[in-house]
Amino acid sequence: MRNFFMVQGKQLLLSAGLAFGVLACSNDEAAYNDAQAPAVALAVAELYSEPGRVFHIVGAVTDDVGIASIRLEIREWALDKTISLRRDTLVTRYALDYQFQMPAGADLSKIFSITISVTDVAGKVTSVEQAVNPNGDFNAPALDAPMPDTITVLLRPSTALNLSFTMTDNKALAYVVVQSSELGIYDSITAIPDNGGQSYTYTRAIPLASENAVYSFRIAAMDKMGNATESLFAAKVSGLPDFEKLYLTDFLTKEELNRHLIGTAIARRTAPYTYQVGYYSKTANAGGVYFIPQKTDLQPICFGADPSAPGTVATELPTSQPITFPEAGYYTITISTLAGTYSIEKYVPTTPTPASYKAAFLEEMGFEMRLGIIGKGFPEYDQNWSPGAAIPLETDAQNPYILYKELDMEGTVQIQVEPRDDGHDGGWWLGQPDNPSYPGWKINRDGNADPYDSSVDELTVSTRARYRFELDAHLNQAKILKVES
Amino acid sequence: MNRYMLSAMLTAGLALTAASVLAAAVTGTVSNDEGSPIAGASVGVRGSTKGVLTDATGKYSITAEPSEVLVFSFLGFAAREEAVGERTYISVSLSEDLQRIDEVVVVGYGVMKKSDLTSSIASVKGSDLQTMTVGNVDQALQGKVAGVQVVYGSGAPGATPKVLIRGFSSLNLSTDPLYVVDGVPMGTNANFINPSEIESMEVLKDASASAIYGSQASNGVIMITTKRGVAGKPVFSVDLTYGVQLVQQPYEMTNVQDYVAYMNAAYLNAGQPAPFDPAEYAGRQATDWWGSAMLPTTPQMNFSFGVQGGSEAHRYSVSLTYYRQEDFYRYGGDGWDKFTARVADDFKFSKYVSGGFVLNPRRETWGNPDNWSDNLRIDPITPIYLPAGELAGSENEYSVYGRSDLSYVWNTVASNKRYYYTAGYYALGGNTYIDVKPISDLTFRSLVGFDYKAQEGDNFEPDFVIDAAHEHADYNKVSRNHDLYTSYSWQNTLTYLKTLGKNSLTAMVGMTMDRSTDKTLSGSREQLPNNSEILREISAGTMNPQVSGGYAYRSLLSYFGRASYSYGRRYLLTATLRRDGSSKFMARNKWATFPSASAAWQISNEEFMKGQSVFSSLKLRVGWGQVGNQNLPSNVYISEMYKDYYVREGQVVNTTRISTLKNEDIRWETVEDVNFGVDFAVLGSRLSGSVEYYIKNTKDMLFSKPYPFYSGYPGGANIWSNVGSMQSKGFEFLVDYKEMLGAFRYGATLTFTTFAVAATTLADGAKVVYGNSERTRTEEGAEPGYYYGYVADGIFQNQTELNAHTSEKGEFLQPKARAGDIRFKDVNGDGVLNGDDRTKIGSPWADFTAGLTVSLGYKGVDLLANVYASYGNELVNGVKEALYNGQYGQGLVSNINDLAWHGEGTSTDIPILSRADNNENFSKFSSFYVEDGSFLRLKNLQLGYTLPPPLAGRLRLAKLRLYVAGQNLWTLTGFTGIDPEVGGDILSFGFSGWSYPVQKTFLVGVNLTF
Repeated sequence: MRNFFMVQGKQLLLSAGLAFGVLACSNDEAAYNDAQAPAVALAVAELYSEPGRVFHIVGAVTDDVGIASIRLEIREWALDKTISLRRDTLVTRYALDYQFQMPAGADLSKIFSITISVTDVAGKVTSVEQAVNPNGDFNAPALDAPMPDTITVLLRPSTALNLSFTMTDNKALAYVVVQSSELGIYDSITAIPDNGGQSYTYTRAIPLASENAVYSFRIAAMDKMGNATESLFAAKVSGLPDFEKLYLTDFLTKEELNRHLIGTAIARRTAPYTYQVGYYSKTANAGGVYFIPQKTDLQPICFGADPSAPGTVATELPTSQPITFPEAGYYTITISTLAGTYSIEKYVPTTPTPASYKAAFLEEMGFEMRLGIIGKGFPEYDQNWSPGAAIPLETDAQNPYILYKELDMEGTVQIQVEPRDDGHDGGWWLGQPDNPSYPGWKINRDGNADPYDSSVDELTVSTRARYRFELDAHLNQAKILKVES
Repeated sequence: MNRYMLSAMLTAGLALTAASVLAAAVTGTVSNDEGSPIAGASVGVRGSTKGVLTDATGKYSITAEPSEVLVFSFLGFAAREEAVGERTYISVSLSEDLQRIDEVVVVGYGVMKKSDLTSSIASVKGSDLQTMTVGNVDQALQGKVAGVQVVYGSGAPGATPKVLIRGFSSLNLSTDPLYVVDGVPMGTNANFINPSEIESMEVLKDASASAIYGSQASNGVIMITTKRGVAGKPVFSVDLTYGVQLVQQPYEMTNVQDYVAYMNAAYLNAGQPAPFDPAEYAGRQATDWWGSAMLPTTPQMNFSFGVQGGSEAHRYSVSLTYYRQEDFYRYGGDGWDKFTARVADDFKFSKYVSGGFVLNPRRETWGNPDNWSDNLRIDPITPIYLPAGELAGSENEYSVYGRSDLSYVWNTVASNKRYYYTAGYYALGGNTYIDVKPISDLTFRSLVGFDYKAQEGDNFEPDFVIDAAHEHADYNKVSRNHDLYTSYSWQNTLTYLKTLGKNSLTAMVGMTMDRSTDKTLSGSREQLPNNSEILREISAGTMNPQVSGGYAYRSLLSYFGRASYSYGRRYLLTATLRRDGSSKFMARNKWATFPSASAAWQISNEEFMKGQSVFSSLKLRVGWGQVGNQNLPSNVYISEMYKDYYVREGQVVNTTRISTLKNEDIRWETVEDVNFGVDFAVLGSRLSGSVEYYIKNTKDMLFSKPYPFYSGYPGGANIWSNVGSMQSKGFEFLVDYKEMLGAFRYGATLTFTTFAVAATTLADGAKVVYGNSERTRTEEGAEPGYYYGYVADGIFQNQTELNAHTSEKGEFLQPKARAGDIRFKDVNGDGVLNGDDRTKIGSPWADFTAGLTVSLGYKGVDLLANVYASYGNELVNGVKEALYNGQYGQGLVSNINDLAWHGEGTSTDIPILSRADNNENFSKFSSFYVEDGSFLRLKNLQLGYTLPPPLAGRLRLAKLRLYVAGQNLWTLTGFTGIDPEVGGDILSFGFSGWSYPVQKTFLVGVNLTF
């Protein structure tokens, strides 16, 4: 009997278990079939973008049964991407964040639509649409030239800061603010008529006390899409500082000075308040040069010739006049800011020209050396630090020391001029300083290209543009000048 | 000659005389099925003791009465009886005994009856190898032995095929088998021997067979027995073969106009301006590089002359062979010449003492350029010679050639005309032995083998300037090397045979001392006064004298023994033991022991099988053994340094660096295997064969691995280590069928070979072993050397496909890809395409290889065909990188425009033609390069005709056979590379590149015996 119950008991348990199993399966099946379709909650209903800009499709996808795939479609922009999720784990929530670059030639006259279709493991599909406006604005207003951290204002009987800048925006400025709490200045400009609201030029002579002092300034701006920018600087009132270096520029306006990637050269400090630099004047009595401590502006200090006394130095515009050169050729310029004097001395260089380097090489090796640009940031060329694909340079017709090349630049730009040994198909690193026999130049952001006293700096070109790279192989100076399109 | 006529007349006279007294003289010839005379065949009268032997030309004469029956017999052939009747001339042909149970097979340090074998030994007759005209006998072995894989790899003169006996058991060491010629180990390359010298070849496949060669046997042993003298009158044989190889341009290349158009497209596709103005090239003829630099046909020939004969006391065999295969270069090549002589003498000095010697002088020369593929890779625009207007007139004869400025491929005609390299050797090998039989059952043998090889190489490189930057040599240069290779082997064995009733015992003990040395010396100088031939000596050089030399030796001392026991020829046992001491290992691991044991059951000899008629023979075999591999460099127990320098503050500082670190604990690589086999013969022995299965385990596998950085030794230093173990298994069979239907005879032999290898364990520091610049990978549990790379997942057809090939965040997996580029698979699905997405993309190892030999004969006509097939392996087609790639400005295949992607919807796996490979279509190693490597090839087709013996006799010949043959005539394969027979080292096997193609060859030949 006991056995009978035990056996019967086991059978009952088994039956119950089976029944439960069937019920459970049945219930699961029902739940599976009755499940909700996937839900899609997008972060925004409408996206903004612009040609060439990467935008993100962001949202939360949920499904109790499990998400199988998410398909993103913008037919006009050749987007048809299916994100297939792993099937070995149950995914009920998925944080969608998919980036896509709007095509450069997209039609700006219409609103586009992204179709987001989510399929769950049961085959249920949910589709939602998200609009993409191709006319977004993503650029903050910008100053015409970056403000230095500190602007030195020379102490005068009537000291003043001549503040002048232009704020621009690619669409439309909402406001521009100039503020100095120490001076109680708060200039807020909201009515911006210039150039359809895309730029505003601020000019104001701000009187300062004639005593050593430091005043903090804030310049801020916002465009009508809410993109803001801010620049902080200090105006330091002092006597003449013994600057570590001065910049030599032959661009005589702020706009010209800031248009180029490298337009200045370094005048080295050879003694207190004394600076020296070499300069090549392409023609006689050309525009001339200034010396400035602040790299991006001719204000407030601008050392130049004082027209009232030859050989003396003026410190500010408009008194300061460019130092000019009576003949074409190489000069050494020496300027003493404290003594207020300058001198120019013409000379004929004797250092080897690139051509003489090449001739010596040819005679020694039996084949040509080619000097070329190695580095990166040149979209026209397959040149990424590849000595085998150096971009050849041309020699200036008037000055055999000057090598140049016009080319497009974009993104992070680095330049080294290196001789290419044509005896090696893959190129060869030959130049100075590693090999004193052959020339070589590394370009830094100040235009210094001395192979023994320079490094290759990263320069930034945010929008592809055409530049003329120019290397003076005698002065070891480089310029990267924007070419008018 | 007069003697022959006199003999014939006397024979006829005797026959007439005898006829009148009933007992007549019966004469005739005994030959084999193919009409070749059989010397030494027995002709006896049934039921009497009367009997004679045939002479060297197969003739006999015996007195017999008309009522008597003559019995013709010879070892290995089925006996045949003929009633005499009224006949006085009875010629018979004997057929090979299909059962061949008494065939003698060479084993290590002895011979055994085939029926007594207990291990896996395959035997191939020399005559089967001589059906093909090849430079290396292994090429003729292909497909004829189950378990042996022969991969040609190259059709170049002097090329050595890859021979794998039952796969391989080592990753890093040589996998070539050991060749033992007439008992003397001769290294791992069989190039030195001519197939016509060979009497038989035995392949010792399993360890129970090869363990007697201990540390040299892990890759198997191939025993070669050369021809020896036969008692009787001298028999002269002449074999002449002459043929031509057809040189076929493997790919048709573009003409000038297409090249210009396609290259312009390639530049534009790369975003670069088109370099060519098509109008400038309209109507211009392409430079015929192939036709100018290559020959349309190349001769191949083999001439053999031999004489064999002697008496019971002295037997001799002399053979002279000459083989030549010319290369296909119009300029610069010398092809391959091989002259071999072999003199073998055997003496029976007394009842107790016999002896003999073999002398084997050899001469071999070779040397040819290796740039044939450049004729395809160079562009069709560059002229061979510079136009007269571009010559200054002061150039030397090597500097008047055109330069390919776009492709940078060197001018092939110019390169080959500068090619003066020749190499060769003079060698003398041989052995001498003495046998002493103090009592009838005991034999002592002492054998000394030797081989001296004086090798030399001469090179002259003239100065030239075709392009001052890229294609030039400023100074001419002459170099020469003289190397001497010697080897000795002294073997002593004592063999005891005893049969008592049903018990039969053979015991052998022995020892060997082997030593080989390499001496090398080379020198060179530059800047000779000029390029004239008379000045091409080192002493004429005036600049940069260089000299180098080295010495290495290897020695091996071994003791071994074998015991074989047979009971009633039913139960067979064999055991061997060998103990080797090698100079390659330090004291603690110097000695190793290699045992083996095997057993066989000859079921068909059992009483219970007597009544059945299905099996003529049935035998089961099982064997076990251990063998070793010591094919590592001679000096791994010492550290090696090399001279180097570094630059500090502009000054060159000399230094030394460690390149190889010593490992005093290095041990043998040991292979242990178990073999199961069944031998059978059914249908009255017309159908016979063997089926075998084996498992091989390699332990203490030797590998040269990088030394760990934490040791402080500089990067790149390697150390030989015992790193792991490997297992291979295989199944193989051979089936042979032979049948005669009257005068029609036919037969077929099928061999089938499989093997599967896997690394079972790998040591720390070598858990993953890469080969061929990380293009193959070996890891635990996987087959060694599998192809490892990216998965090419088709071609991007449009922007939508490009936009879809992103991570789930939308980041491009291939940011530089454009339509027409290869889509690589994100195998691990992590949204980044990098080295972690490489995976197994193919296997170099065939699922099986098979060989089929079919022979047909009708009277004097014979037809033979050999077919070889490999199935299931993949190959890497390396030539795709050149032929379909616009990156380098090289020559392009003529149909590249159709083959390469050329717009949405193109069905192809070849990417868009482009001057820039930004997407790394070609530089990434991917499945794009991997193709099915299966093939089936008709290796040999030979049709022969043998004159009937009477007709040959009228020409005073014992045999005259004429034949025509074709080799490599037809290949069935889907592989698009140069050739599907691709070899390589284990970790870089199957990588097909610009190897010298295997050519179709047509031959005519004659075999004469007199």
